[in-house]
Amino acid sequence: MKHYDEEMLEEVLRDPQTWANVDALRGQSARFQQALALKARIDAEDDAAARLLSPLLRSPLRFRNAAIAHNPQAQTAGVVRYLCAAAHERHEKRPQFSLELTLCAYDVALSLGPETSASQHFCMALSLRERANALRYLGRFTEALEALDSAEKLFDEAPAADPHDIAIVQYIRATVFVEIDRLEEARVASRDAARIFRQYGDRPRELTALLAEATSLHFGGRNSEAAKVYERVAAKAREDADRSVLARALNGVANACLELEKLDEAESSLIEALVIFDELDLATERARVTWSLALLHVRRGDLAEGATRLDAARAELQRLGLVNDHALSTLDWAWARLAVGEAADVAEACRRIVVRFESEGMMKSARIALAHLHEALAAGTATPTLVSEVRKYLEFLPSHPDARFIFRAHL
Amino acid sequence: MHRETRLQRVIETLGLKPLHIVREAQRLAVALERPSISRQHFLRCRTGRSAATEDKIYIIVAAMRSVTGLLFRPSDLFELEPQAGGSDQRTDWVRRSIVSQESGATDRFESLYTEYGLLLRTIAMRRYHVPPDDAEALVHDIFAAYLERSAYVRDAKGWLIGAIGNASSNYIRKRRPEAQLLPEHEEAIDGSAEARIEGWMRHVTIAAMLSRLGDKCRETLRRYYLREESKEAIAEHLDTSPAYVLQLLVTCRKRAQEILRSLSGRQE
Repeated sequence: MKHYDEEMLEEVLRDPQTWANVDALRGQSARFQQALALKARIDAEDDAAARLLSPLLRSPLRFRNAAIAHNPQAQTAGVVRYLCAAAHERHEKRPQFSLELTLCAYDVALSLGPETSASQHFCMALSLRERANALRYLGRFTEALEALDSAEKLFDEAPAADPHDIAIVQYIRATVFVEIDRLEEARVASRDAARIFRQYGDRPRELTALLAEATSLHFGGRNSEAAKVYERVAAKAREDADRSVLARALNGVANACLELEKLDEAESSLIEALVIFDELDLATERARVTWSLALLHVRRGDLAEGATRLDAARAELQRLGLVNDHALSTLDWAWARLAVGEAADVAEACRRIVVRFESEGMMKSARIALAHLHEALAAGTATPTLVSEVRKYLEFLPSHPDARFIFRAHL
Repeated sequence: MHRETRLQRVIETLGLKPLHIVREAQRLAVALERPSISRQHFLRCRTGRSAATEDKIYIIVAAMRSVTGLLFRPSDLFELEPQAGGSDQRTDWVRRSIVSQESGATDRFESLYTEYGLLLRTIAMRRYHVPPDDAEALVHDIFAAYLERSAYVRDAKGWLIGAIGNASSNYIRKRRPEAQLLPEHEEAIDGSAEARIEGWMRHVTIAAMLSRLGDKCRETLRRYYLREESKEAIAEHLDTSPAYVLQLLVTCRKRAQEILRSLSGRQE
């Protein structure tokens, strides 16, 4: 709590500006009344939107049948705001439904008249930005970038607020760039976003943007730089007691350290991250860190212990429905088992691998790569190298959807 | 007589050395900036002589995980009360962020507008030399923009200060294209600018305090400090004695400090 000592207080009390400020505070201006009226209007719109939409959001079918975009009562900025917030909450678990919500929000924004509490362009921009987020979760990256471009143009109107709004656009863009392997663009976009968030005192978003920057460095193989950025984020998150960001940053530090063969540092970061994810009850993140810890044993050459832990980790990933992570961790486990010459159960476990990609083309490519593996396992000719090649191929397939599986050992 | 706790059972089953766990807990507590635990306190927790607090449970669980590599849950080591549940977190979030149904939301906005509005105007006028009337218009536009975005603005103060900086820079560029923006107007707020803003914030907080003070106190303080009237002159104006004026000044300053404490607490 700030302390105002008597001497300082008396000095301020003698300052004429202080008393001018007092008079200004006591005389409520017409503008203040306008602001209160705007707030009342926004509150009323938001209340009405919540009443109208919350029962409909329980199921996509119910929402679809309500045809909100054609309901004259729903043509308000409050409905756009509510739909965008509802979509934002559903991106991870129900991205298809969240996309539908943002498309509806955009249709509503298009039909807004001048009487609503926010400008039509702002509402359109808001819904496009959220649409991009949904598309990102669905892996439709080209469309996501198009939506972000349109949102940015529409935001470009209010000088006071737009840099922050556009920084959010930039941050989403950076995460899309990471996914499609445009890493330098990702780095620049995330750094720009972080700078603006800092200017607006938005520390959580600043740290998240820095995490995106670090990830782009990590994926680009610039692991020393990535580790430094991750460590900077971890230090700031620790300062802010932001455990969620701290855990993600520590996880990043560990991943970069693993690539740099700094295994002890990686381990200590992973342990700390694990504790926090556990405390936050983030089961999926916890399962992924457990997987990384198991891999650490493999990297240290303790293959038997690594395989045991990988077996437990992949079971947990499967239990959580993380289909692709389960596939990759099973391949890690298969690699370790084959490396120690214990091939029993490997073929069976690999046969149960399921992968899920958005496009049919990617699914077909993944099936071809897995078929190579199944064939070799059945024939008893599978090697750790083949397993490793299939794993690498599946891991990078989303960012290289047109790549074909070629087993390099045969070249 | 001690009862056997879950923690003690696990330690015995796994053949762990309590000292190792305490050392690891102390190491993790430093790394995590969390309260640490002493050997004595750990002994009391594992023998059931004292109930572990949430902080102690956290750090013991972390240390046990670190020492064993096993994924203990707090309930594996401690008897915990079941969590109260029932509410739909997602719905709650949407309601909280979108619908201002909490009582006092308008009051809070009024305080934000009056107190931060003054600070923003001060920044526009003193840092960017925007004329008073235009500064007031900029501040109003910023609050309107804030209202549209309040669902996803996480730190109102930071956002408002960032927004006034940007709006003022833009104002300067538009109105005086020949005028160069000074380095202090650009980019993030540096340390010295931040200190200046803190200084203005202090002034604004004191002004807010004075506007909340009763009329009699406020006017007495104004006469005494701003107009430098003597206690005799104030006594004459109030039709009372100089001794009473002295007493009044003491009481008013005390009340002022109380209001300042509540205002500072709210801003943090």
